Amino acid sequence: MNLPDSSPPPKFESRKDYLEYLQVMMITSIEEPEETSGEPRGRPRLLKTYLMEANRSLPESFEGFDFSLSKLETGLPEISFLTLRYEGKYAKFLVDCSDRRFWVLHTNSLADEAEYLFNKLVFSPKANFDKVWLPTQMMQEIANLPRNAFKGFGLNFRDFFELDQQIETPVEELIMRVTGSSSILALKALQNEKKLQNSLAYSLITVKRGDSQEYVTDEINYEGRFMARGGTSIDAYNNLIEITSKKYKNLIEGIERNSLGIKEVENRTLIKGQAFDLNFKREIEDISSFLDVLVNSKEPFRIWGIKNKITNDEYQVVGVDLHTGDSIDFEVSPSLMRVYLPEGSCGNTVLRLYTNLQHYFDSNITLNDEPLQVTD
Amino acid sequence: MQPCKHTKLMNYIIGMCKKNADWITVLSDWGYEVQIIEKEMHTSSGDSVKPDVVTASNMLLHALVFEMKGGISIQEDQMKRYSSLLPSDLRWVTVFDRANLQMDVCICDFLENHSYIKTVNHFFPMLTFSSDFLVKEGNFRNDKLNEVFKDPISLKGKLQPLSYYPFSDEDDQSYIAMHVIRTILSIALKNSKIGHDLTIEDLKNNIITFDDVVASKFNYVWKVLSWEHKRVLKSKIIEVTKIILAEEKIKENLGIIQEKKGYKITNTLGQFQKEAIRFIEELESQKGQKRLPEFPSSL
Repeated sequence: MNLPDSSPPPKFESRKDYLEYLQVMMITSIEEPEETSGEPRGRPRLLKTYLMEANRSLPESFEGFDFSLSKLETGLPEISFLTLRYEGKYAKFLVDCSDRRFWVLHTNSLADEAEYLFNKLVFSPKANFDKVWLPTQMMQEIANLPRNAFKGFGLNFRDFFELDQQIETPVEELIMRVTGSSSILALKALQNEKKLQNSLAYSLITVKRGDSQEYVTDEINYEGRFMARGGTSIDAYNNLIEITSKKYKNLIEGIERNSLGIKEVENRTLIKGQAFDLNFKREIEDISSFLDVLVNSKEPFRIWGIKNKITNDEYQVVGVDLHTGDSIDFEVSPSLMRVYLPEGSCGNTVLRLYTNLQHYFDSNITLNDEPLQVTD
Repeated sequence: MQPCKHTKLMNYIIGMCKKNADWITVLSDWGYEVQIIEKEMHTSSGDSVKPDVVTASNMLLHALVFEMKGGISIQEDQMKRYSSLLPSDLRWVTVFDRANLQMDVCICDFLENHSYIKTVNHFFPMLTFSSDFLVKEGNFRNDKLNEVFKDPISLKGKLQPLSYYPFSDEDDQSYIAMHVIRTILSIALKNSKIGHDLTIEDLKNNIITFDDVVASKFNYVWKVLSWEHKRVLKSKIIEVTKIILAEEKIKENLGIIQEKKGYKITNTLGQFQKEAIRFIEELESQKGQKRLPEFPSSL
């Protein structure tokens, strides 16, 4: 069953109705033969789900967006039916805003179109939306959860900081897809190869959750997209999304508790919070050139900044996170980036930076000298 | 471009109360938190002092009252007033047992000025920063502190913190301009995201007539700065803002960034970055020259 191409949208009287609807969306797509001829990608109608961060409500009007957006009610206040259109492309989503900050968007629209339009929505300069950016360590934690079996992984590492100035394409990249029950052995073999050790960032993992009867085989990518590759249980599918969302939210809130601000605590005025240390295993050879790439306003980092040389091995950056407009400051040495997040700024800024540095500079980066450790 | 020495010392000490990698964490390790910045305190003998930073540790029941000496402006009278400061005068400091709180005044300086500063400071222990070491001279009342600072602490390979205390009224215009330009961009983008497209004139008025909320966007420690520091800093921020928003190319790029509805603003942001750097370098090269008075006071 596909989401309807025209009105009316599906109507739900209860969460049970809604989940049954999702169950049918998932099962029918898995049981259908592969759609390859004439479609942009194989099996495009699979149930896909995007986790995103929202710092505002879903807009009623289209103003400010360079694509069209229509929102319809479904009968459940927290679930909306959203259609996005742009230049002949369209995609439809069931948007679950039960968590006001981390929304869940389900779709079985064509994969490329859904991805394209989802990106349009979250990267709109007129909105305060962002993707979730799952660090490799968190993806591994999800794979290792009880009742999960690791079924494969994808790696996508491109060195943005060793650019050939003539052609502006990365000269070092590692892109790989491994599937099957022995994937973990392949990963261990890669981890033992010294030359690859800074390049092993998960672009996706495949996880089977559940038992032999009730299960889902889910592909999760580092930008928070879930895809039901196989299975029988929408409950297992949603459960994995909820666990991921909860873990991510806890981490973001931990980061925000450490943001810098002047706070009154037990009658004391304190400079509360502290900078985050992003420690590199791979040394930055030329900090000035590194920063030219990092703060050039472009994807994937989307940071604008002014660099300031303090010593040969120490630079300071005064910047702006273009996703949110928030200030962000750095200090950088060959092995450390100290990130200052002012109070009120979004913790996602730190995780976006961290996760993208894993994919584009050093997959062994650590936060506060521990994988994803936030000190309270 | 370097922050002024006062800004550096403020950051060094605040940074020592945090747990960051590649900086000195001894104060943080012993539970010191920054509790007060630039607050005037009246001593029991009727004098008043205004320490730059007061940190306190519940673990040691001890407060460190820091006076930063980035330059050579030190007066005997100031040191005498500090000598009358008692733990009971630290009324703004909260520890679990105030009755047993001990304190030390500590003078922080740089090696190049140290020989002069110590001729005036006859009373208090000193922490002196050079490019290679942090060295203690004199003794604290607390033995743990004497122990942790007993040997020089190497600064080799350390990354100096500079953003806990972003800038002060002693910083050069170029250094302040770097922060002001960033904040102007941040304000413009944030307004744009909530559907408030300000004109450049609106933006200028918004910044020039700024209140404490806007001020905190320029410098997040604004709220705790002294009234006098705020007054001077505000006038510096306004001056720099006026100069920045008189620059045609900066204004033009900022206008495009604000009003652009679509995605293709990356090039404009790049242009804005180039213009900002050019402008800051120009200010830096004119350091010491009287550029500001040559500009009109209103636009």
